[in-house]
Amino acid sequence: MFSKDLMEIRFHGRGGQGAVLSATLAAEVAFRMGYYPQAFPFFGAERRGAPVIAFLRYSSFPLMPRCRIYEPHCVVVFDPELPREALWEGLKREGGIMLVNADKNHPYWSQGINGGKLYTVDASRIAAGAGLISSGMPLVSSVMLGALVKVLGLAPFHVLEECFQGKIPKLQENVLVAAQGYQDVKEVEIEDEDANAGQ
Amino acid sequence: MNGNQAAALAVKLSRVQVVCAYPITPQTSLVENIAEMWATGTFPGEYISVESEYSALSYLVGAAYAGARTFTATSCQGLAYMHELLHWAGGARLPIVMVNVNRTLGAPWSLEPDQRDSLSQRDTGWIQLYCCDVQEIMDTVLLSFRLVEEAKIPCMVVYDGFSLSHTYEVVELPLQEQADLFLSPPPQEALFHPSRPQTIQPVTDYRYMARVIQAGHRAMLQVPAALEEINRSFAGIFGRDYPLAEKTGPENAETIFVAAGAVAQTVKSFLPLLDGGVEKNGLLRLRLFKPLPEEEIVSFLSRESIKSLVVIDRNLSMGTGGIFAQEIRALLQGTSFQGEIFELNLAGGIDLTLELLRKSMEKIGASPAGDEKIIWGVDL
Repeated sequence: MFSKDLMEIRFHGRGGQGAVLSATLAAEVAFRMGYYPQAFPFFGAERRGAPVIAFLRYSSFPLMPRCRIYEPHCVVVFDPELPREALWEGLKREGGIMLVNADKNHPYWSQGINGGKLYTVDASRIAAGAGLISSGMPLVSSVMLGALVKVLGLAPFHVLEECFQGKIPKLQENVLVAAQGYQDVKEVEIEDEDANAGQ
Repeated sequence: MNGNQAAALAVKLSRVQVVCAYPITPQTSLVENIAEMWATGTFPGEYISVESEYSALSYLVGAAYAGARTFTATSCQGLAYMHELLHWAGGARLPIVMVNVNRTLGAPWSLEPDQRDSLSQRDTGWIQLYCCDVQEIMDTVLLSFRLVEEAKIPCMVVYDGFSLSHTYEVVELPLQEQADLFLSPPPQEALFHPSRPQTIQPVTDYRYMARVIQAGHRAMLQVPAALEEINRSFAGIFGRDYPLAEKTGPENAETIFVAAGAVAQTVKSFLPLLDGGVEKNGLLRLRLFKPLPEEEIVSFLSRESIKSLVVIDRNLSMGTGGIFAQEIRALLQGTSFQGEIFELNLAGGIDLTLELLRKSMEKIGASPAGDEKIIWGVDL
């Protein structure tokens, strides 16, 4: 919107999934790569399981607006079953990136995105496989962060690993699943340009 | 770190002796941070939990009478609940520093960053400083302790809920040695003691009271000059220079936006994208709101080239209009200002986007003089 190096990202998750923490950790990665970041949550109902939105802006210049992000370059979805319209809302058609925690064969997400790119990573399976579960809910944030850093081309993996130090419990497991997210994230072939009901 | 963490760290760096507060969204993480530092032994002052905001400020009034360096923080209904004590602290000229995180006053309930909570305390005898980024929050809390101790007037440091309190960004951390160089150590002896009973501020007659109020007014008028001096000293030690009011834009600007808080920074970032860009548009960011630095504002706004002021109020005095707009009108009365004053009203905490700002500019372009001067954000 302001310059081609301003990046605006919106995170959608549920309370307890770590969407807010992910936005702040991604902000730190951006900082370490020489950008000025700004990460902030938008809370509706502050409770476990309720939809949560977080935002991240980063840019090579420090002066940025302080409004919420309505036309993101990238949307990160922690739970593919969240109400779908809200996820697609405002996503840029040109070069927009949708990154979803889903099996790449998830029928719901295989329809593509107008003019943009769809990436999936099966974060729930990866997190559960590493035993990262709380109250029956897979803790997907580290996997999603690994995948996000990769699809944005934001930083080499070790920068994310450094940002985890001292901020994440079960450090070893989280680094491991983040690396897996970084490796496994795949662009999904767009099958039907018009079938995307959310646009 | 975010705005609340920055404020908490500034409290620690300022060697505050007594913190007494009651948690309320969106201030909660601020007091949680102080409580945690206290519990882990990294904050050596007292942290007192009480059952309400009323008690929190009452406690600090006592601590401040005794000479302690004191801090509290609140938001919206919590600030309103403190109202009676705000007057007391202001009248008694107690050097208390408070953070108020802007949030819409109910009814109905809302979490959005409307400024009516702090602005409805305008006349309680407190200094009010509005911040627009996380660094400024940290620095302003720090320098407020020096301001209150020099001016002997309590100070409210104000910033927007969520869009500053919960926004993480890059902050340059002051060192404890720098803070110690900037702020004198807090007093070590209590001013009074149970072994020396005394009465303070008993019932007076109107003549004495009138003198107290007049002295408070005159002291308030000294604040801009005192703050300017403190800003200079702060810049010398920390390398960051804060103005009384931030002035941006060209010498021959035609439109000046006036705003405070997070909204002001949003406007600043949008200036190049508006019609006329940075060649025609400027910004006055109100930092010291109470008292307004009159000379500085009038000389900036009464330039001949200025055709319109757009005062952005995320607040409202129902039946009158935006509170910043009222203040600016009052200041410009009788000056050489020739332009028109428009109000963009964002009461209720409306999020200011580029689209909304552009639409409001179109409204201004289309409106013949004499029309209602309030442009309602909610209608755009």
